[in-house]
Amino acid sequence: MSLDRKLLSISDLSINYQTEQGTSLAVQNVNLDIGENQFVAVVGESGCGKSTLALAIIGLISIPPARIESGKIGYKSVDLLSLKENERRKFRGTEIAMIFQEPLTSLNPVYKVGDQIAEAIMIREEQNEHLESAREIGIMQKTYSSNDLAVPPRFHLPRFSSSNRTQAILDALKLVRIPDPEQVIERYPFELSGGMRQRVMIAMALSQKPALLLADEPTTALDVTTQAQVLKLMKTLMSEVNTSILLITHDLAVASQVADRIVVMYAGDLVEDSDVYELFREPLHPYTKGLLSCIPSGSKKAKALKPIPGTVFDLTRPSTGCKFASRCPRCMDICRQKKPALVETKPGHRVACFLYGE
Amino acid sequence: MVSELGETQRNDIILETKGLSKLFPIRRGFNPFARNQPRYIHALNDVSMKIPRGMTVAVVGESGCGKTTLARAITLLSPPTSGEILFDGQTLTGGKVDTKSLYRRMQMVFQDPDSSLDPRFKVKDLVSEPCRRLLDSDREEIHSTVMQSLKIVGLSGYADRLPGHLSGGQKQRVAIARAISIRPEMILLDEPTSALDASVQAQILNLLIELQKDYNLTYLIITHNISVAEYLSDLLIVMYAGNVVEHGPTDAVISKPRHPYTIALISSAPIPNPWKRNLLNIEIKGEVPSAINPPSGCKFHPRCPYAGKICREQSPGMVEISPGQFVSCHFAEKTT
Amino acid sequence: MSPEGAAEEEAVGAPSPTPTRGRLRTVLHALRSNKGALIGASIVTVFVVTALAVFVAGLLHTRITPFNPIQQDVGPAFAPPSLAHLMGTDELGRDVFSRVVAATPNDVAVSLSVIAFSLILGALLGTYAAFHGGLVDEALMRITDIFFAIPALVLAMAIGIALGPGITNMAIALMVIWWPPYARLARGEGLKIAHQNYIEAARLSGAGRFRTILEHALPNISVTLLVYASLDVGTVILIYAGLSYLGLAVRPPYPDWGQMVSAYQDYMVSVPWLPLFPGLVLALGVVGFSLLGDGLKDALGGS
Repeated sequence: MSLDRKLLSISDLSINYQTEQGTSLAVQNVNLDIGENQFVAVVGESGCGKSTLALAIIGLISIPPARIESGKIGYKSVDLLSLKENERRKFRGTEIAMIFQEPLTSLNPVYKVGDQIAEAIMIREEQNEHLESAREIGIMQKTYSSNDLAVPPRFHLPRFSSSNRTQAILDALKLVRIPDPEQVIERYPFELSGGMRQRVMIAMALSQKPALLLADEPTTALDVTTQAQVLKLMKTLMSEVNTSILLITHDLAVASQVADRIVVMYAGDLVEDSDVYELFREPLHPYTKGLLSCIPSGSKKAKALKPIPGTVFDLTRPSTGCKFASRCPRCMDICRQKKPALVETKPGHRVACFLYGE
Repeated sequence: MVSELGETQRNDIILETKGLSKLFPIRRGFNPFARNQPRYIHALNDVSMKIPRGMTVAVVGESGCGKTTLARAITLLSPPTSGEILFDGQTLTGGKVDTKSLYRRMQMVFQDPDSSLDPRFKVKDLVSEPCRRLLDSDREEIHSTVMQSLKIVGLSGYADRLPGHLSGGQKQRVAIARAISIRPEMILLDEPTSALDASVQAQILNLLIELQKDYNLTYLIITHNISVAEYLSDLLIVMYAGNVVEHGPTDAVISKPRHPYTIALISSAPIPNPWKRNLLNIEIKGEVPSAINPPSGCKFHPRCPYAGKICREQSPGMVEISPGQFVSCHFAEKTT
Repeated sequence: MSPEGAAEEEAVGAPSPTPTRGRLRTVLHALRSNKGALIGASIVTVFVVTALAVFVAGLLHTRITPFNPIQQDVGPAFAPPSLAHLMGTDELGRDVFSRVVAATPNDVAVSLSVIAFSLILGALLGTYAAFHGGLVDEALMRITDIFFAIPALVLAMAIGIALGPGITNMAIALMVIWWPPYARLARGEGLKIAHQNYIEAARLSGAGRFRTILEHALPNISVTLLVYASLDVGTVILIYAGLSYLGLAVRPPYPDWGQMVSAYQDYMVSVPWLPLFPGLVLALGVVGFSLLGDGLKDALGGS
């Protein structure tokens, strides 16, 4: 994709954590671009660095114990990592929003739902007052799709009167298809079900019409049918609100159902990045193939599961070669000596593996 | 123990429940104005099923469906309020039961590997506990049993470890080693792999299959994960809000679900196939109903696309819609 | 239902090939790095060792103190502190230092025995109530409520007067009133773990209720109870000193810190060191146990 249509451009990002057991290399040399209106899923198992990556993008990593060793996170040609916290805050919520796994702990239990959504909307009002500085930083490129006449442009909202505000809250809830929004506004978080709470979270996140929505395992704690509803909602909203979604998940099946693009991470490394259909048609990296053969689908007589041998890589141990080498069925000598670089074998399909060239 | 069933039948069905119900009383404060408040949580409602020996039966459902309550009722950890449980022809309900002899033959693996192992006990002491309490073995026999059990699950060097130093998958293996150490006939597994990563889950699932073959085990697996249920089980029981809504051979229920809830459940299960995006086409609305004030008649009727007047008034009975496949729905014929 | 550590990036993975150090060593290490705890530990050690030494010496009919604590006129009355009499002498010419040292076993023994009794009784009752529930639980709660409603010292005095003076009777009086908070604490902790899966797994392994409590529940709630107990020792010392001050414990001429403060307080203006020394030693004891308790809390709270 051409440079000016790129929304997010992460280059050579490396993040470490200081732990009691030593320095843990959570994210290593990650290069990733996300365009407008794209649904990208970052898939990997625990410890692979996907959550750290998301938190780094939105700037919620605690430093220390984390340390950003190197790299840039370019958002609309601004390097987010170079900004100070008060400037960074202007992007959080308005340009980049995030929802988390457990909405019960993300929502404040002592405030009504309506008040919390109002807070989210009011913050945007304040941000509007910093419009001038936003212009200075140079992020005012914004085009609106013609079919969102019901959705006000991102930076040009009138000041809220109280009736306007209530209407804005109701609109936010209607956007996420919550039944009886007038009643839900008066409820406390514990009175709602998990699925409803997650919808409220999405409403709060999207009420500020961000260009990028990060979702860290948003449906893992939900029932299967609720998960389907929420994922379907997110996909629908992506086009209604004209936002890109970066979905963090451990579940490759879920990713395959909703994402346009899948990025596979292992032990802090980005090992494969491809269009979703291409990934399932022809997975390249041995870890990706291993993951695919791990997913139960069909009865045990039909398709036996082939687990990946060995255990997850210990992030505190420095590695010279490819981190997957010890578990890889196709491991070669060079794999133990050098780390493979991310190579674009086909347009739109990148893989970090010596099987596919240097 | 003389059983009521015939000799051949007795060998077939290892566990049977008849009309199992579980009510939890709600503690109300002393409020003279609250006269007609609901008094019970209806966790299980008239659950009847038969588990054949040597097979794997999966109970699937979402939160509030009562599947965990069912497992705890069968193992007598939380005995049912009414109904009957028969284990190998022997009644477990109504009156004193020798739990020690029951637990020699029936064991359970719990959902959360972090909380199912006492953090103060070493692995070998955890695995040896059933032997020590339920069998009359001496120390040497116990030791060799423990070592053998650990070997079977692939944790040979881990006897002296503490649970805090184990990964989730390893903890679950310890729980499995503990369960099989006394060579039970039946094992209940409550969400055995829900807390595990994909590759670890695959290892555990394969281990379970291997153990079943080697030791002729009967499994009752509780899970919300349709794919896991499909992979492991021969028979599938679908529960909703405390009731069984459908049951039958797994491949039949999954390929041709007849209950509207089952249809929604199966189509919500994410399959690793971007060309079959059934997830985005589901049309289920609403949420799981309250267990305190359940809907009248069929509990699914408020959310059901096929619901008619009778569904509000009358709870449907179980009907054999095709050989071996049973549905509890007034309009079962219409749902193909 | 979330996969292990899905939302957290920790260095989980292949566990270290060598087992890491056990709990005790971790605690000791943590204590060593805490200055307050070290000071507390040294003070407590001095007190406990002195108490033991005095007690053993008594059994062997010797003494470790420079003078006989009840012998009068070993020096001039009201002598100020000097090399011969480190804490001076009292109105009867007795060596105050010897008296203070000789009184150590009283406070140490009483406080430790009261705490030990309360800990054991409270832990057993509290966890049993937590696991049993129902009427047993309610009964225990109401009984402890009664004890909480009455101030400790007053109740101890009442029992003490009923039983008559003497160090053993005071210890008994204190034991009677001291266990309820432990029972409440144990019940609270017990409730937290009563429905943990490993407790149910113990049931499935054939363990009876009592055995489950003993083997599984108590070890897992012990940390909270021990921390509370370690901070509580100082309080027992003070309350016992109060009883002793009121003359309910050891009768003269035998020394006891609280009783000494009471006896010497009349001379406060002219001979200030007399009541000061036993008072300071009391305070030091309380501070020492409290510092140690605090350090233990920090050390165990983190693990």
